[in-house]
Amino acid sequence: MRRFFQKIKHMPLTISLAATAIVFTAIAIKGAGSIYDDSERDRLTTPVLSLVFNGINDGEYPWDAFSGKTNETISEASAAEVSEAAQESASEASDTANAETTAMETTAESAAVDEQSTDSAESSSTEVEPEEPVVEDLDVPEAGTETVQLDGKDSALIAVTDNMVNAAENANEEIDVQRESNPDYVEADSMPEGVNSDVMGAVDYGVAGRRYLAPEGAAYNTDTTGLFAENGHYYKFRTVDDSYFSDAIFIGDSRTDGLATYGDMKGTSFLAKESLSVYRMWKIKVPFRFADGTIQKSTVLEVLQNFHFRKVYLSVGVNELGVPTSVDFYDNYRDAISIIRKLQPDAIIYIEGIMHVSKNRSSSDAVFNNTSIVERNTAISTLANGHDIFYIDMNPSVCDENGDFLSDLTGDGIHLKASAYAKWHEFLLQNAIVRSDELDNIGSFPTGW
Amino acid sequence: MVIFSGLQFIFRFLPIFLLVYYLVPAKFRNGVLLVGSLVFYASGVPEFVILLIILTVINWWFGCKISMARRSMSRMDSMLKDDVGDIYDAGPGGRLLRRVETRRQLTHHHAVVFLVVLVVLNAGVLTACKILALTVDSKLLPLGMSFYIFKMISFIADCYTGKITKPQTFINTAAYFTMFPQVTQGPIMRFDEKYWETKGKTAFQAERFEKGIFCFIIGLCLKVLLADRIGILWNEIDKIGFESISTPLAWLGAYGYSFELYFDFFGYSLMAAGLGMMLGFPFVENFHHPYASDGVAKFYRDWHVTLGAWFRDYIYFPLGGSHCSKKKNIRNLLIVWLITGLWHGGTLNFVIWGLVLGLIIIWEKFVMKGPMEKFKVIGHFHVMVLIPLTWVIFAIPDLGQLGLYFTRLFPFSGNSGTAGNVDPGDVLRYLNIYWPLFAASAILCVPATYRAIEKLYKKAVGKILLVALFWVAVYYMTISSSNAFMYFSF
Repeated sequence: MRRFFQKIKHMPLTISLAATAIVFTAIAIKGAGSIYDDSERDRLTTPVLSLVFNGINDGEYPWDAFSGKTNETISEASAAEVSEAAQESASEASDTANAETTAMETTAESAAVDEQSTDSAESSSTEVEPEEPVVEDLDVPEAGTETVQLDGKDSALIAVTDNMVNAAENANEEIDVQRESNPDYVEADSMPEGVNSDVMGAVDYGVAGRRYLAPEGAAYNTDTTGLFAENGHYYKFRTVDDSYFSDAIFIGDSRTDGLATYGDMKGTSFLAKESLSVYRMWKIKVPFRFADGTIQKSTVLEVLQNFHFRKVYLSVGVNELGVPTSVDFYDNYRDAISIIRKLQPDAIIYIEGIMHVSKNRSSSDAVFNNTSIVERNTAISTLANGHDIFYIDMNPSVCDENGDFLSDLTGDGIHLKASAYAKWHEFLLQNAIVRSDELDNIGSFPTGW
Repeated sequence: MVIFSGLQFIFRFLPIFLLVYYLVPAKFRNGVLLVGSLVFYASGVPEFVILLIILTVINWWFGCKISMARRSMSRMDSMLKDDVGDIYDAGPGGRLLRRVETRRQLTHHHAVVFLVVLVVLNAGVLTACKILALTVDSKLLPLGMSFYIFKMISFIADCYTGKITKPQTFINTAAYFTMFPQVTQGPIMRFDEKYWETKGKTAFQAERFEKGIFCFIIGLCLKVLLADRIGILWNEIDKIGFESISTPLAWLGAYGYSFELYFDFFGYSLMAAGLGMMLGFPFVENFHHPYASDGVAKFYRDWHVTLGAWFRDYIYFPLGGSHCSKKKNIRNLLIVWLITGLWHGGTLNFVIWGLVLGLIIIWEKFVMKGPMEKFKVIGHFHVMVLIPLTWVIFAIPDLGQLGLYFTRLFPFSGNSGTAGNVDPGDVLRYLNIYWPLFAASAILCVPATYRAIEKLYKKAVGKILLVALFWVAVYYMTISSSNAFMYFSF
């Protein structure tokens, strides 16, 4: 035994490693009850101290485990900050709100840019008591602040400003006037052809993992009613040119990022980042490419709170394939749409169907396969109402008749090659909704709220 | 669990194994190593552990037979030499001697047959599995087979040549073949008879153990913090599609891939050597700062040292090496490099890769020898520019795509038609993200850096930094494998 201790003296590295490992393990055990979620760890393969590192990655630091903090505590000071800042930005932007109806502009120098750079609203730093998720009928919103549930467990304060209310009211009024002259505004008892894309199907290779799919008999609950179309009326797709996208914003994951880089869509706004998902969408810093060509880092929450877009395209879903189940994905997607609707009351929302994967992947991967993707697309397509929320599915442009992503358009079976993004761009040009109030004025530069 | 840079290996297998290994009496350690290694191997590929055991038994048994045959032969040799009598004597003495002579020839014959059969069997099994992996299913090449078969062949050959002087115990031999620090990706250590004999009698050496951990952590950091991260660049380029990358990005990609390959394998080799040292083995060097070499020939003596040495000792020298005519020497070099290419992979690009390297080496040896000795910069140019280009051949199995990549690297007129939708700012975007990794890679190609690291390590602050780096590596391993919710980032 004495020999053992003699030897130990000569092993400082071993000792330090053992000591630090014990410290991390202790922190993990202490935090396992509060800030760390230990339910998914495979005890056979993963040490308990991995909780500390996962926590750091999620923004929860070891010292929090000792301060008694949990996921639900309030930080009142920052809550006040948020509503103040939101009111500030609302009043600053009220002058520029009128620029909405002016002619198209696709170049830089707009009040919105200056406003954006001086605005430092940290609307994303609060943690509030979670409330019941609120999915309202899509009427004209009320001004004020409210708490919304984000990402399933996190919450944030959003401000519905007077400008937003005005925008919604204006849209309502103007649409009323112009409807008769819009050839794509049709009357029908139920949704006709050419309103939403069909969900493109795919061959089931039988490898989809059961745990990711919806349980038998799952039904999807949609109660979204339209703002721009009276009951019994729908908008059909038409072809537009690139000016249509000047007041649009594309929110999405790395596929959207590829569209921004290689899709030849200058003059459009993008909020795209690899790993973006409905579970982690609102508060992470994302590269924000504004229509004037500037790029900065911002959160989706901030951008939608501060800018007024007329079309919002959402394209997420591939990163979430590894999270069970399709129903859970649908619920989170629905919540995301409702928050977008609150912050962009008069925008057309496009739900972009998840792009399929190649046959190689689909026939061998329990997570990344078209069976799962088609199931999820079917679910989220029910959110489209043909009035102001539409479902578009670009898969027929890039897939074969089996619904598999064409292998010469992709390197890894999941992303389009740079040279193929033109097909997605082309699809978007051909599947656009033009509201009655926009017949003369299809796209203009986005302004601040 | 078979991946060294994984949480399960570092926090489950290794501590438990080390505990058992050092708690049992020293003479049982090789047995513990054998059992532990089989458990390790079975955790990765349970369907192939039986094959490993069978090959181990066969090679050990025949190795013994060959060694015993050698012993008999040398006994008979001394009988034939010492005896004063004449082998051609018609009397009983001569008859005895002639019988011994015959026995000796027969024994020698047996030894040769055993050698040939085993070499053919070993090589045949490896080749068959490689072909199956290419044509049917890549999982049909068992984990580590390319490496442990080479150990087995070297063992048999060393028994035959007498480098191994007597039959070895099953446990020692099996532990040598299967030892977990080396079974998945080498290094291809040779069987050191004296070492294995005395291993059970040596006490625990704290310094060597510490040095082992030091090596392991350095290797781990090279792999997790450098190789894995710079490797993402090549994936991105693949995603974009080779026709849509700019020429600067193509070059950046070639160097990114070269660095990824180097630090991945160098990192692994350091981890393997470190683990060996923790178990009492001496340090096995597998990389000796190859990118600092002054020529491609030297590069490949310093790159994957144990593989090159194996090819040299068991193929190049038996063929005649360089101690023969110039034509034969060239032939020998081409044969060795052809086999080297095939060993790395069965697709045509690997054959091209091997032959191109063989040609460069022949060129250096027979054409450029004088100029290279006078102007060292030529050799360094070969290493720093030609080698990364050869790695591009190594990296891209599809020949059409390979050709496409080269038109991006060298966009001479007539080539540019293949480009499609290139983003001119792409290289700047990626440099912005990756420049720290490239800088670190360049610094870590220089031998002096490692001397500095060792010097720093002697001080307390160096040790603290090392422990900190270890935990940073653990952080990256944790978040990249935390696939409870997300598999990858897309």
